[in-house]
Amino acid sequence: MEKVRKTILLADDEPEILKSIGEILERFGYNVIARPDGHAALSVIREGTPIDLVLVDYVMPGMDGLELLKSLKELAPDVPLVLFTGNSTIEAYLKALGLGVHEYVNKPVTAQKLKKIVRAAIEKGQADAPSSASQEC
Amino acid sequence: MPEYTFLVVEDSPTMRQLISFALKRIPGSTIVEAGDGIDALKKLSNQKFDVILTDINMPLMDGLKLVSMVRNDPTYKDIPVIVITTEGADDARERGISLGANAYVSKPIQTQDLLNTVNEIIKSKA
Amino acid sequence: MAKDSDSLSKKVENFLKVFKKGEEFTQELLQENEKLRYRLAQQEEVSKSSGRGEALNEQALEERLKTLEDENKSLLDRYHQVEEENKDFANRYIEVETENNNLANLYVASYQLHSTLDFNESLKIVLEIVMNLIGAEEFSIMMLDEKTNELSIVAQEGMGQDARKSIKMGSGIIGQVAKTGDAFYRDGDPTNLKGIDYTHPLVTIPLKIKEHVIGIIVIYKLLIQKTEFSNVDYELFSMLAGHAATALFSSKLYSQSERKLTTIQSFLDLLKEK
Repeated sequence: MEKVRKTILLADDEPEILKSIGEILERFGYNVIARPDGHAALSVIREGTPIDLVLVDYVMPGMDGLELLKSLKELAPDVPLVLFTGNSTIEAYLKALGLGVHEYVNKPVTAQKLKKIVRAAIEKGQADAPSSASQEC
Repeated sequence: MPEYTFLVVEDSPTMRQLISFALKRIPGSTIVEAGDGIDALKKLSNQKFDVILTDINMPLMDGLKLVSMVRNDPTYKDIPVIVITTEGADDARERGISLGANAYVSKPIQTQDLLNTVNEIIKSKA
Repeated sequence: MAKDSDSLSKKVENFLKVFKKGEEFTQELLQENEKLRYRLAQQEEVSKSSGRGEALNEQALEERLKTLEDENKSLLDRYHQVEEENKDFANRYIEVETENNNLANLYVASYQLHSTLDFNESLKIVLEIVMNLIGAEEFSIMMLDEKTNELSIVAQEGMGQDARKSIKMGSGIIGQVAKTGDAFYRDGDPTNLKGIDYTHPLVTIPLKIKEHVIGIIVIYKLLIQKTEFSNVDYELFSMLAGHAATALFSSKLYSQSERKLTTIQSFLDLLKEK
């Protein structure tokens, strides 16, 4: 689509994952802002940095994914969200969908799959914006 | 008499009705229908099911994703899942089975074939 | 339907019981027979040693043995008869079961066809019936344009590039079906392994309201495992000929009148504003 590099805000408390996923995304041509927890991620948004996609771990110390999502939706309602997690439950998934999450990814995820998901979420985010991006739930 | 609750996940109303019609012939059966994977998840979290029957190609959330969601959730992981595939779509069928589906039934659905598969699964769970 | 098959299976069960009893009885008789033979042999031994005094007794026993053997034979005959009847019942059970499934298919198909007044939804339902209930892989639905007298594809599944998008009324097999209103069924291999000739469809069904053809369903190829049409497929075809026609026709009319209504409504609104 557009040639502009898209910016992805990545938040995960495990440095290994943060680093590896960040590298994969950069390899795919994305601009990555990586933060080790929810608060740090939120402050990136508060600073007004333009973000095309937020990719966040579901469980993190201090603030879990769902809480972060709630605040994110308030601050930047049009930015698509992808949640990833080690062990997902259907209840958590439904809750996440209710908060307007675009995709919910089970870890471990392959690079190819991540690429597909990220691309789809960004495209969908652009298609939906500025109208509400939330799925019916 | 034993009672069974089935969750039928199909986006096509025609197929949904046909499958439900067949399942009604199992004594003691209750059938709940869902139009896509997400609808199915919502229904799953509301009541107990004995068997899930799901189509593969559906809007919002497809059958394969539904299978993996169910298998990954400790609360639901033991519910048997039957995937309904189009004949020739071996790829989808294999993926369904590798994600943890217990059996598959091919379209166009033969009622007897469907009932045999369901009965086998019920028996093996009993 | 379910009741019929229930009572039928009950009958089958009863016959099985009768048949079981007959078998047991035969077994008992055979055993008794065996005992009697043994005793007879003993008697003969005894009479040999004891002389002719026992001859009368021996004759009586032999007579008894004969009656028993006759009884035995008639029981065996009865047993075979019951077995035959049983087989008949089992076959009829299967027939009823198949009929049951066929009726379910027909019921669901016609129920769905008349469940909507939206043209596109009706179209989708016809597609689904042909795809999922009949098992077609390549097929199209064509509607007749009364002004141009041409059939053109309104919905299709799996069809290749070289399929004609529109066909003149009366031209080729498809055009002829539309003209005459008689369905066409091609003989020979329905799986079309040799490739598809779009001028020689497998099946062409006219969609008719009374004698008036409004469109057609053309099937070119079936799914791999579907090697022939079953009876219920033909039933479905004739059901589709009538019901798909009325469903598509009425939903089209409905959407047209809806559109007119909105146009008129907006005119009225415009007038009101002035």
